[in-house]
Amino acid sequence: MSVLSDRVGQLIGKHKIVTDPQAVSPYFDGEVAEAKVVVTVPASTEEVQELVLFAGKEKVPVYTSYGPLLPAKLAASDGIIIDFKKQNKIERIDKRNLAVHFQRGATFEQINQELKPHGIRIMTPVAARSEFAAECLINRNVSKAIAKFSEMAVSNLKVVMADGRIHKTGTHSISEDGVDFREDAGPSLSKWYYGSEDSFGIVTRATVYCFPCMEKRLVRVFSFDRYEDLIKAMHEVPRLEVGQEYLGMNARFARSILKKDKAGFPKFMLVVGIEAFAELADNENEWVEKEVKKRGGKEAREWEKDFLDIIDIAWKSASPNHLAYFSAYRNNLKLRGLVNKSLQEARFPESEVGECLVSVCRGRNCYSMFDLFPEGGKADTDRLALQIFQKKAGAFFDLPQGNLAWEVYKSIPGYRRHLRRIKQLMDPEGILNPQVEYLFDPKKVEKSNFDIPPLTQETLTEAVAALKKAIGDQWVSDRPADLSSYGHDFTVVTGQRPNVVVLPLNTKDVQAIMEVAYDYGLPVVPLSTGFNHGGLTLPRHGGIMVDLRRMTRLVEIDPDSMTAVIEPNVKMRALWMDCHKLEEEYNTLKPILPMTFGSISLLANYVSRGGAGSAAKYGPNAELIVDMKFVLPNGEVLEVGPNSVPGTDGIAYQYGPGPEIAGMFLNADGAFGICTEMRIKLFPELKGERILGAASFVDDYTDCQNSCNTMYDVCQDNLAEYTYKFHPGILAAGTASLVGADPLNVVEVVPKHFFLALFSGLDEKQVEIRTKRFEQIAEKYGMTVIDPATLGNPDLAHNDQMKRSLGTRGNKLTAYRGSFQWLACYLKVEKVPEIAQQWKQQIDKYWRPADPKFSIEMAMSGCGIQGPMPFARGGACEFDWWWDHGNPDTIKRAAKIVRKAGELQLDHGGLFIRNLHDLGEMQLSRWGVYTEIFKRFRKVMDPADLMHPGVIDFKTEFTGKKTE
Amino acid sequence: MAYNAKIARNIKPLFEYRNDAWKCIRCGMCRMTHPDFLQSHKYSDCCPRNIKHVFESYAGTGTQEIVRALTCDPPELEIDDYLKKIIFTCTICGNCQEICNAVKDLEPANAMMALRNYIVNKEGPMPAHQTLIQSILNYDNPWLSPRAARARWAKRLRDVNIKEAGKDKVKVLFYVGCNESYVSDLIPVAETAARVLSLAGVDFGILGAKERCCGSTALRTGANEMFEKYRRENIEMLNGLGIQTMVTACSGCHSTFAHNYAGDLKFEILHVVEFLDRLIQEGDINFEKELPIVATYHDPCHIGRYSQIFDPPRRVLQSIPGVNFKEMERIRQYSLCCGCGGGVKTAYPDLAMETANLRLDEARDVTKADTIVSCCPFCENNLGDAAKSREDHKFRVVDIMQLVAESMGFEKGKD
Repeated sequence: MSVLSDRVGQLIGKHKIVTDPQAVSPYFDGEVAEAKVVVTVPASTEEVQELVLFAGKEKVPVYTSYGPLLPAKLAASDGIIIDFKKQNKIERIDKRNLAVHFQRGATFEQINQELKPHGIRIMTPVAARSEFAAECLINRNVSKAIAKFSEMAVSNLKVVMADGRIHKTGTHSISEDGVDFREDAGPSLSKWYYGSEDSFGIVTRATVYCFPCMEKRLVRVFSFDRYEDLIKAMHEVPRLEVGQEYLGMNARFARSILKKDKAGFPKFMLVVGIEAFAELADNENEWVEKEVKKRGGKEAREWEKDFLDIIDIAWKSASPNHLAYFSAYRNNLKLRGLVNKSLQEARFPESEVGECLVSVCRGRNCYSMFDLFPEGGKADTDRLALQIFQKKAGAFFDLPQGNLAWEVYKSIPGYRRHLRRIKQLMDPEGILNPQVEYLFDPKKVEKSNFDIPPLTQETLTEAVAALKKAIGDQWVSDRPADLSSYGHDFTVVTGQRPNVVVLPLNTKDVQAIMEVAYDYGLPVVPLSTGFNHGGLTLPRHGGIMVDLRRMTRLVEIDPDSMTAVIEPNVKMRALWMDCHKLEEEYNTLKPILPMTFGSISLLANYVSRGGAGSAAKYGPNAELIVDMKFVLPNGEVLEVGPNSVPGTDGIAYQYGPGPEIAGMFLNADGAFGICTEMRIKLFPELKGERILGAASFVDDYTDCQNSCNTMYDVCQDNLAEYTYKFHPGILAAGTASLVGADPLNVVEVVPKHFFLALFSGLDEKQVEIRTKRFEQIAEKYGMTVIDPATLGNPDLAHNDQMKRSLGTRGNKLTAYRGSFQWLACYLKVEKVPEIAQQWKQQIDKYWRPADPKFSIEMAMSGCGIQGPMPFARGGACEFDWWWDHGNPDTIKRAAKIVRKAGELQLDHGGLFIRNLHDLGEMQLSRWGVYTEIFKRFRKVMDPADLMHPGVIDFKTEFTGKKTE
Repeated sequence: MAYNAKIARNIKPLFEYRNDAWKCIRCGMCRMTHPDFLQSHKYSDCCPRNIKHVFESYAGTGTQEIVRALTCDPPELEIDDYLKKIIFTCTICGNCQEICNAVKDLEPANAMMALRNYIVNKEGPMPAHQTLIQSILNYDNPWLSPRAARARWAKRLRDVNIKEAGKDKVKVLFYVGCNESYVSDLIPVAETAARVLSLAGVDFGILGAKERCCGSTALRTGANEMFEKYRRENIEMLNGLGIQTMVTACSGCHSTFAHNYAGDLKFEILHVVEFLDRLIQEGDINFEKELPIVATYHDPCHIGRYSQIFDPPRRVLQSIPGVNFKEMERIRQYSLCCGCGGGVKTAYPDLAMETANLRLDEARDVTKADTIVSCCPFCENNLGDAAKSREDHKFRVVDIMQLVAESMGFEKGKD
């Protein structure tokens, strides 16, 4: 035994280590003759911590088995391999909220076996690269159901950091009882771990979203003679929003996956999985059959049973020689031609090439996999991938390896440097998976040292002159009349006027501005269309206000990939209108808009992690972003997202290559740079539509619970594209403005709990199936179904606010008493009845208007749920209240109630949607390790602390002390 | 739709807008084409001065902020030339208020008029407006033209019986307005109106040299006290005529009489296009000649947004044989201002011209029209100037009355 193995054995027990070269070999890509490396099989996260601490102290590399085998040469050096096979417990199953918490060593088979009695399951990959579910999911192994559910299934992770500490990511930072949500209290830094191959921290546990096993599960199989017809069907049918899995394959792949050696497979097959309650499943089945046949598919029913048997189990990579990439359908044939040509040149027989295609996110893109079976001889898929990449023909490689990784990462300007910065921050000694050297090279991280002199009137004058020179006199102003408009908003937050306001026209202008800012030490605050809500765009220390409203280009709408590229001043409703003009056979297109003013920048809303009432169907806005272009504090431009890789085209996948670094820009309030361009996903706008509500007129806990249960069932049956649970105040204000009444006269007669949903479908029949199901659910919970169309005012049943953002219909929410205020957090829907009661008590205690009608008025304030996440795994729980900004007494009370609301939400494990009203400090104080990472990374990215300083107070030591 | 505050009416002192200023939520709807009528990203902006100057201060939200800052104690802003520029580049088109009324019930356009009055009271009129104001005081019109020349156009119409209101008893007073009386390009509008009224057998007259400015120019440029003087004196004179109806051919006069003299005039006030529409509906007008044109209609702010007269001009246009009528995107109460109003053409001609060109771009790209039709001398003047300067697309900018004249067979300048 070596010294290393001795010491490691002492740490976790000798029976948990392996050093014998024969036993070590399976971890490497070649035979191991001599093993200095120690394989460990720790039984717990604590043991992993011990190992990492030891490794850090002794500067010994730690390797994990995240998928690819390790290079054999590493075996001869000191190192610790961690194998997670003993950490395979399913720790918790949350059937109501559809999540399962399991240790890293659990397999898909094991997890789904345990979930089965609960009537739920996790989605499985089409080509698992690891036997462990967590490793596949964290590293984005493509799910078979990605056509319908493109959102990443992993919500939270437990990570052992390089310094041995534990980082529970996303909302688990504050509480494991709260909502399981991968977003963080500030920028979504936790997402770095996804696709990072354990290089930033070692994952030991994952929380993964489950899906209900529906009443009916079907598999339809169609044969195709022509590849062109197959991809046409895979491109076009999923965008009708019928079916769940769209898997195309050639005969060789089908033979391998079905493990049937017999002949008789069609040349090409399309396997379509359908899952829904019986009536809807039958309806979808009819649509799928009709539309696939229309595109050249022929029924191949003889294979349906075979595929039904395996559709819900994880498919392993059919061959170790495996090549896969994403592409737009328009580039699919060209790319396939390149692959085939290369294979011909390498004399690899066509008969041994297995092809499998997965339709991605409603047919936007295709994930093409080529398995080169050993029967065909030797094949170098790494070389082949590199050749394809170098052709720049539109292929996107999600997690490149080997030489391809070098090429991909270095092709994006600045990308590798930022990955290295993160590596340096998270693993300064470089002990975690250092074999991923093409991605990380901590030694080369630059050190920044800024020595900026204090701002004086003289330097300010110089800075203004420099700005004018950079972007033009007329677009720079330091005149008080211009500055005044940027110094405060309508909330309780007090800001400062900026010293100068600038109006850049393009990314180049923004870069020039950042350079001046750093030269003169001027803080920078970005703003797009100017709805300065909750102080997020107010300067706290003066500086340069970068007003982006001259950046108004709607750069592109690409109907093929269903994406749009927008600049900051593209108003959300304007984009909706332009998309809506794009008529397709059964639908038009639409962006997913939050319920805020139609005048507001969609880019700003997405980048600040806004939510939509239609998140139940489409997912949170953060998942709808494809690419972003950022100007960083040092003036450099960084593009993130798949299309940042030169040569890609029309990729509509929301993740860039490798570690998911885009998250750090979301909900960052400008901390890491200014977003100047964004590609977002568009969705099919189906033609059938109906709005229905379910009401309860009793204001008690049980009725609130019934309303929440209605929401759960509606979302978990995947019925509606928009849902909102109103409290009486918001319902009264909305209704009153539609019918021209005073909200105070309406608040006592409106339902106490009102669940509103919009049901859509390809045709009226589909809508009817969904609404019938809704009526059954409402009845089950004793709710009264209300059809707004029968109430005599067409505006009451108008979809404007649900789909097109707020126009004027019903939109005097903000008019009553002056200012409408809200504070929202992501919370488990089941916790809403309890928090709603406590909120009522808070209102009684702290919100006593002098108005004699105060008891009615207090009823205006309440707790609603806007936009639950898909399957109601969490909801945006919102407290609303109205106050008069012209009244100093009300301002005092408003300031108090804001903090009380914040405390209440955080106490329930809530995650603020945004750090409004200067509550970020309160939230971040509870987020431990995350907050510390955030603060340190900010110093890396913005060493002079110029990016919107003070919006979250980084310089204060957070105490988490409650308000008196 | 119910409105709490009508555009450019019942303007209160500045300090009464202070609470509103605090209530503005900076939603920015006031800069946007009305969301319920918005058709595309390309035409999603509605505020002429904000389109050009872009800073928040040049929008309805900025107006509220300036009101807030000036009404603080002590004021947070000083009145300087730049602040005046922000305030006087507004055309008071009312688009911002039209939308805000439906969202937040604030009155940015009215607050802007109060701001102007506040500035003028403290510092006097804008230098560029000084000539207009002085001319009105000296000659009762803003064009430095003698009173005696006001009705010269009428004397040339020998075949039309135009009575002298005040002297002769008439039921209908044709209140010609300063523009149609003095501006040569617009005189045909007055002539046509008179011919149409005559042809339809309307018993009408004009005031001739006794007609005085309605005061609109003074009101829009912040000289409220001067406007009050004209209002008072005009009310006394007009009510003494014993007329039943006043018809104006000027949208500014129309909105001023209809709204800013509101309640004090004892007769009906119509714009000539409404009158014409009535006559067409009743079969009193016969069009003889086809006009093979592609025409689009530009809604003037004063008879559009201010007075809700949207359908009559469209009906009139569509009744003219041969006219292929096409709509732009920003129309009716959400029409983009031509850029001329509120004294902007005088004080900031570049802004007026740029805005007019934006409007012509919209007409060209959306409708492919060759003829831009309106009912307002200011719009026609401004859009006409812009059209003359363009090479890309030839537009004819005309008053609707001119098209009516052509189709009815009136020849320009015929005695």
